[in-house]
Amino acid sequence: MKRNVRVTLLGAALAIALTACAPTTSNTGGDDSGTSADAALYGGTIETAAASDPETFDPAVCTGATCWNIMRMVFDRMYDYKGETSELKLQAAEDFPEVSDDGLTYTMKLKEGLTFSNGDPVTAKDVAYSYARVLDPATQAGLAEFWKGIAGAEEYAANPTGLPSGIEVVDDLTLKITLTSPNSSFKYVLAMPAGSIIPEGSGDTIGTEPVGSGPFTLTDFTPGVEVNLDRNADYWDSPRPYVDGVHMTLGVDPDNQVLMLQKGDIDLMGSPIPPAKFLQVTTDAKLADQIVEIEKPSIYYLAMNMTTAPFDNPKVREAISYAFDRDALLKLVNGQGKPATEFIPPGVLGYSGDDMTHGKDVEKAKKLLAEAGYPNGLETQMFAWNVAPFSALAPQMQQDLKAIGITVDLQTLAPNTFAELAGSGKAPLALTFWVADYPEGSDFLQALMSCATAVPQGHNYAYYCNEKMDASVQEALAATDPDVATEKYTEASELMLSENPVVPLYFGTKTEIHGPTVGGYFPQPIWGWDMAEYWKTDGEKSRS
Amino acid sequence: MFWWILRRLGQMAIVLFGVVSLAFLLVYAVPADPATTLAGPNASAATIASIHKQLGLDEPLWQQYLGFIGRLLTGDLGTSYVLRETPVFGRIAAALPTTLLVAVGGIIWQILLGVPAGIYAAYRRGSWVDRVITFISLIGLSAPPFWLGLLLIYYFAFTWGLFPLNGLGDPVIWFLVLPTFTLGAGGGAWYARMTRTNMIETLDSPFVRMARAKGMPEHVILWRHSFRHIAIPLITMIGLDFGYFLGGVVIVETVFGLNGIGRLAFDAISNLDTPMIVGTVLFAAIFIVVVNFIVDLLYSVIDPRVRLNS
Repeated sequence: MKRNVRVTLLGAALAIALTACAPTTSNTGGDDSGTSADAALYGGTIETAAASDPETFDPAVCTGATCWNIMRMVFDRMYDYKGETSELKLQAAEDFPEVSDDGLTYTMKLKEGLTFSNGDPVTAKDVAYSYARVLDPATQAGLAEFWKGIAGAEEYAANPTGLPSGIEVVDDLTLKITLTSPNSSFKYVLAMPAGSIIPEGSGDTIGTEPVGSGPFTLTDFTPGVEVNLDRNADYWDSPRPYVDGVHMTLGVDPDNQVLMLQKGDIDLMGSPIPPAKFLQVTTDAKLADQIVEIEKPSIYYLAMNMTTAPFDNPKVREAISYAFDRDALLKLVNGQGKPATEFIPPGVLGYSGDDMTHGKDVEKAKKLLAEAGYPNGLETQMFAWNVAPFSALAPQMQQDLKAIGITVDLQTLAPNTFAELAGSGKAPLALTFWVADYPEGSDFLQALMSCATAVPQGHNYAYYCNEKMDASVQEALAATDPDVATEKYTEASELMLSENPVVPLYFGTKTEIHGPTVGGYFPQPIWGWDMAEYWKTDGEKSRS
Repeated sequence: MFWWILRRLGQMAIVLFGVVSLAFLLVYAVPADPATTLAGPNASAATIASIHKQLGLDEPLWQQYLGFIGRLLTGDLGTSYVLRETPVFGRIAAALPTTLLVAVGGIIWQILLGVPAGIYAAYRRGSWVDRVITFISLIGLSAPPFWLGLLLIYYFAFTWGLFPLNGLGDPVIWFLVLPTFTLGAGGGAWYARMTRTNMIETLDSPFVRMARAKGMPEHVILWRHSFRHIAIPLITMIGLDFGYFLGGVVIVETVFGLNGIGRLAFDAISNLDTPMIVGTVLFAAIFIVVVNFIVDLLYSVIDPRVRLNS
């Protein structure tokens, strides 16, 4: 049924909206966010639309597309991402953390005079509470794993009272966090939604009545209908936010969002541009000034399950690494990406710039298969998501594998069914992707390819495990010098790819469209909208 | 009559229990994990296991099922897995008015479009008008609603700006024209064909020949005498449709961004949100069963030959 395709796109939108990316952009209309304040105008409301309701207003829990955007408006974190880059800037924090020489202790100071929307001051106690809460199993935080490097996290999860031993409130404005092992990516964890600062003790109500210190406050939410947010007039980063409020219409089909934007009913779309409308929108000369494209720190790849025959045979895996023409595959996805040269995408610490992948070479692949003991080819199964872009890629890959003698039974599955089956190791071949949670190589090599993740539901669909690679990643995480870290990540990537557990296909990009009256718009690789920075071009010169 | 009603109520309870149990078991049988949707695509295995525990998804099936039925009997439909703080019952109740408006509007279009066309086609049977009506109704039947909906949105709302693009607003009827027409168009075609067939049969019956023979005017034969004969199958169809539409009109509500039960069901199914799926299925089943019951009662009002005996 055709409707199903459109439906699952909605689901994909969710995944894609958790998008991330790299600092370089080919921006046709954007300004440098740092200097744009001179041109900024005041007042007005930014109209937006979202395909689904915000799943929750609890920042520790939110992983969906709609709530994700709202989290950035309602809450502040210690650090946030600067403009369209994947660099951190100070938000609630007075300065960047002071890290001890052994890399284990982070001392952070809050800005003075910050207040929550209920008028209470923001103190180190609130920050400590917000972080500890993520580790409490009752919170059901989807990304709790990132916080488990805090000392005492496990004991706290078993008995969530007080604070974990690794979180210490030094004084009203100072917080000290101790880790169990050095982790250079920890600062990015503090900038994730779950790092949002909420008032101490507000955990039970935060999901419905969010109180934050961010640039906007939630004024009302009608499920299935709309969300209204008002400017926080007392926001510390004056004169931001520029607009008086944000209105979000809920339950708008992505196709309809495009029409509403073209008609001027909305300024920003909550969903990605649907594939069926992509070329029409991106080639429309009238819209050229309103379209921005940005690399998102993501990798689309094919994983081969090394625990099952024939992919336990290194020659078979090597053969498959020669099967695909990356440029041809990219054409099928409207050119939304560039050919992968390694596993860690550009814009992410650990990207080497070297080419570690193999181009298409049918003869070589056949020869390798013959050497592996399959002169007459073989038969296997490939699992893929049934949504774009996978629905476009998988049939072509099936043909490419046929060309080297591998007959593939293609199984296209709904995203959550895919996660269940491929995650439990039932997929010989799995076509999948990953978008960075933060711009460091560990989020790729550790989250997807480490021994620890070679378990059911561990995302390591190849079940690859090489302790030597894990050790290199650990060294990279402990390195304070980014060059040393890059070197270690490169070592790990080379080692991993030499064993061909995965075939990296392409690094993704995302294309966004904004309304003609949105000023200062820029896409963010890691986060969603930076609403405090945008303004309406039909606004006032000064705040009335 | 009293015993008939009591027996029907008993049957309804059994049907609803069966439907809800089936819905619960079907969702359980899907090889997918609600916790993955909940925790997001980048959650670790340990986190997913912890969420399983929190939601009781790690318990054996029978235990989950008994717990679910127990809560249901106390009127508790639970809380959505995905829309965290949202009680299923309240969310469905909030979506009900929209669905009601769309359902009533859709039925009105079906009747307005279908019944006159069917009667006229039957009356002018074999003429070119009959053929044109039959042909158009064939198109109406074959047009998928999401395609028709997108087409209407593109031309009537986007290009010509005659109607709003999305959602509901003021005046509500303005916002309802396109979605209800989309819903009613296919059904209208169906009504036209059904009305035509029944009408042809009636017009061939001896009492019509008798009426004609004694010189009764055609419009009296058609509307006062024959129409009553096709009322029973018509009411059956309207009843079924109404029950069905009230359960949520998935495609129309999704395409037009209407906050109804259909869209709730749609989102719940794509997210494997078990409590919400079971809740929407239960509501849909209740509507169908209740409307059927009312239709059965109506039969005896319309056709005095029908008696409700126990």
